[in-house]
Amino acid sequence: MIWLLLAVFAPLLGALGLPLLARLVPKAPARVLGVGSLGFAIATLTGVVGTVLERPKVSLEWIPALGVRFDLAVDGISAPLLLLTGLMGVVATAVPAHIDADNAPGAAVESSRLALYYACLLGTIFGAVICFLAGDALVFFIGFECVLLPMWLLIAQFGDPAPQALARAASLRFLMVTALGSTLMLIGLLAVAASTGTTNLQVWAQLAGSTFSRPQGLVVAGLLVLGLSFKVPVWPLHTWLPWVHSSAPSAGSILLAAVLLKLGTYGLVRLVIPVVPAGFATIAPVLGGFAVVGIIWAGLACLVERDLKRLIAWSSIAHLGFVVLGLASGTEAGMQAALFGNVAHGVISGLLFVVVGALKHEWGGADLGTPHASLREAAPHWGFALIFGFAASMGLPGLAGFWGEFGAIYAAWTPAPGRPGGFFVLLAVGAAVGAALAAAYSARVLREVWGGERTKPAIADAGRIELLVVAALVVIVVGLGVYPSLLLDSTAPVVSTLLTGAP
Amino acid sequence: MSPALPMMLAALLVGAGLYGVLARRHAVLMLIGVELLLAAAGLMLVTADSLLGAETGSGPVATIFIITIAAAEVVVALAVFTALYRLRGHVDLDVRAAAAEPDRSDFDEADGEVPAR
Amino acid sequence: MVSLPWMTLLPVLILAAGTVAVLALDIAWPAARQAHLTLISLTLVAAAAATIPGIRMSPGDSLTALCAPSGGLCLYEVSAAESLLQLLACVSALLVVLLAWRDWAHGEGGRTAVLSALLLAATTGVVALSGVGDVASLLVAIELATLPTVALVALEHRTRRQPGAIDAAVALLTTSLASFALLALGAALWFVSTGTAILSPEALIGQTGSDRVVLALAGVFALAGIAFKLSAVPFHAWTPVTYAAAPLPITAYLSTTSKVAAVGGLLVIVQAVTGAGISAVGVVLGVVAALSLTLGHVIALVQGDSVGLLAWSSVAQGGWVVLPLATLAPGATSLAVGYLVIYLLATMALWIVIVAFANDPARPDGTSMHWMRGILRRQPALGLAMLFALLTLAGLPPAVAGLLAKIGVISPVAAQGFWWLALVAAINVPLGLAVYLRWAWLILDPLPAPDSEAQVAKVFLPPLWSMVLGLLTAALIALSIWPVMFR
Repeated sequence: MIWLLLAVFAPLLGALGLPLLARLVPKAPARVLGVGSLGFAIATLTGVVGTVLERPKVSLEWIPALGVRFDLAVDGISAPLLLLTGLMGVVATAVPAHIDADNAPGAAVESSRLALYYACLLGTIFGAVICFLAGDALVFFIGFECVLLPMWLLIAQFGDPAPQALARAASLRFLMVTALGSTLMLIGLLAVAASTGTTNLQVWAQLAGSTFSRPQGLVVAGLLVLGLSFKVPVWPLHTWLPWVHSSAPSAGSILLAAVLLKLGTYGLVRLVIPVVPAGFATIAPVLGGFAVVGIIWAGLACLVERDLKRLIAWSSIAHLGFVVLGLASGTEAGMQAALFGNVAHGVISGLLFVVVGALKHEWGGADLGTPHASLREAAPHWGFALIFGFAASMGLPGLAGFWGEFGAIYAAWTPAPGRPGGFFVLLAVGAAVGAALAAAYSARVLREVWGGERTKPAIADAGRIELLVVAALVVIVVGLGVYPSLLLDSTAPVVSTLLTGAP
Repeated sequence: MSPALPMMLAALLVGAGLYGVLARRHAVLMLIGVELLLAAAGLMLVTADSLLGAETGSGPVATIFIITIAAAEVVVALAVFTALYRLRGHVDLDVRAAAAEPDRSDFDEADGEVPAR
Repeated sequence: MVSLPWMTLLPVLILAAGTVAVLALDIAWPAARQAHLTLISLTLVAAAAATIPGIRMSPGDSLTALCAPSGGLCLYEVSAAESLLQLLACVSALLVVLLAWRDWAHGEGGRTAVLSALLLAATTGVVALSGVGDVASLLVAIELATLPTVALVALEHRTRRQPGAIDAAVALLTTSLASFALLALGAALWFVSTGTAILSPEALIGQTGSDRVVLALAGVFALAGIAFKLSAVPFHAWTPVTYAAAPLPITAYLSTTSKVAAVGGLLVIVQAVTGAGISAVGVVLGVVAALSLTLGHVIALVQGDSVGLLAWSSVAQGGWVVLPLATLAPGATSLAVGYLVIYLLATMALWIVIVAFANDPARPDGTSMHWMRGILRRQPALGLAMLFALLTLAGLPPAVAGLLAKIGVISPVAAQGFWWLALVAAINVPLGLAVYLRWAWLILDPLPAPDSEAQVAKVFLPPLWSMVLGLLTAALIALSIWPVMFR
């Protein structure tokens, strides 16, 4: 119980307390704020670890008029994602902020502005923690919405300074697209709530759509999937993501890729598949088709993309395509692979954005066309991290990315009974082509960034904290790759109950 | 008594009144249109009451209410129209719509009559 | 004979007595100014207190008065939700008195008394409207709530603003006259088709086919007659004209207390026709909600003036309030009232700030949004209060209250399967975000304005205003944690 309180209130107190501190002590040095926010993030991680081990349950009366109880609980599916959130919270607050002062680049940043930055990071983490802990659909929805404002501020206020109008436009697009998606999802949730008479997710999973007629179930599943597809994002609703990533500050990108996108796939697992199984089964081939188109589309985009951050954003779209494909296959293996791929992508994209964020800061831009010193020569540590990240991202065996991708392709090859088998085989082939594209674009990036003989202009290599962060992420990626049961054993029992509808 | 005749009269009044309201060029003509509509409503109420033979007499009572409210409306309306006439020299409602484009430079300025804090 | 249950009617009676008392005081003591304002404040506080027993009722109960001796049909009936509306009307009117105090306490003799009496009379109408049970009272109450506001708009005494105020009054007057005529026709048709003046579902038992057509027509006419008070499209045309030129406290009255009147009237009509299941009324409400939301948000997007933005945002917010009523579902009324509570709290907070800016002599054209640029840096408490109010209207956490209010109004639409309406709502949520966050961005904006002294000068809020603003924000925060607004 105490762990749960710590996990929920540490980021909340941090988000509210740091700006207050900056207000009360206007001359607070940047280091104090940085260390303070890191402290709150570590407290959150501690709380999350304790929560995952202890598995407490909270159920409070909240809004009787809408039948909503404030339910918080953890199970095998949410536990890894909670840990991921806690971890990425620490990573995001630990990496250097690289914020400019308001109008004058280079000038010292006011403490209030820095405090706002850290408050936004912690606020995002708070929303995600609530989301993954939620045992009630509307509590999930509120957590889902909680991340919007801090993320909007992060991009709009602390994004790329060069064309600020671009960052603002990107942030507004992020906000409006996500809000549209979440409202569509809300409508679906409310329809389920009206049909079942409750918003408790466990009850929803037990009823397994038995309260719906066939067309009703189809409409509700359609709304939920459509709404969540904006967040995941599934092709062709992905257009906002590359722009947001190229404008966001690196900590914002880390949280967006590693945590926020997971909200979408977690929503599919938690709110759609067990709740309206029949409706989802009807939509699944279409969803799988879009996912595979997304994998290939994003892979091709990666071959020509010139902005390194945007390139990684495209690769995120491809990886989430694998996750969605695994979910669409409807088998236990597919869902296991999807959940694994979800977490693996979180860690790997977190690692990549740490590296690329630092490179962008050092280079003064993330354009691949500008000649840079080769990382092998100028910054070997960053170079290793980048190679490692891309290797994991393309799904090399022995690293975390492998199990998710090949599991998804395997699941699509042998989909659940009732799914059109031939079509899914086609999807599996398409996904395999996408995986090959990943190798191609990884090679392209490494050739342009890591290889070469240029040694000028020199850039600084990773600092001590950054090395520590990278090392921790590398260990996790290798650990998950070598010993996948760590994660699969946690999710397996829940997956089978979710798919069969048994309590 | 057949309800047809009074109801037809009411329909006629509604038609005339609606024309007066929608064509509303002259403020007073619009006001007359509204009065015609109210008269139609009153006529319907009285007719229905006499047909149904309701004991409470709700229809005539409601009619008296409407007549009273209409009188109050006319008082306020004529006062406002008089102010409009003093201001513009006419009471043409269409012209107002064109002239009412907010002239921002004139609005919201602190005015001499407001006491300093 | 019917007996007069004083306690049930107390909110209305207190306000009516207060109106008479203000005029009597003016005869006795013509030079009085502060005394009138104190009197109406006390009256409003007393009326607000008198609504408390009604609010504390459990959901199914209602207070009745002036009932027919034979049956259960009553001329006055309030449920808990309607008592809440009455409280909201009193509280928001009290805020208007606060905003207008300095202006009204000044000027030639008798002006204070007239304005005070008009305000109380209008509020009497608003409070009575929530409880009316028959068509005749409905007509009286809505006109009592409207006519004084026309006069209040026209009685602008600053010569420079007067021409605009007259135009504003004419716009409001012509719309209200036409709407009242429609409402009277609706009332007459109701009587023709049901044979009773009582607005109650019980009156509809035993309706036959042709009568249902007339009844649907009655419902549609009545809705058209009331929709203008909510500024619902297509009866919104007066809103931008009147908001832009009326005295600001009166504009605040129109966007808060008048909305309560509109919702009170809507609830009476919707509750009456819900029993009969006349779907035409629901369709009309749905179309009105969809049009109001979309048009209001789209035009609010391009407003550069805070009052203009609030004018169009009030159109859109009216759409949110109507949205659940379109389903004609039994629980929809309490959700609409819950949304109204949140809307009023946030809007009142914004009005305090806007009037403070407009009163500041350092800023000509004081309601323009660009004066508020960077206010969070200069006056963090004020900026935070504004930000929270804007986020509440947008329905974005940390203002969970606003989000829950939106969930509330969307829920019956989704539950009843009104998919087209749900889709319109889904498109309007991001539009609303864009509207309010545009303003929020100015508040947050770090860029100081280098060109003008006035822009960086602090805006002055009298201590009492700051306190009320703090209370409103605290109420919104409390409702975010403990959402009790759905009665």
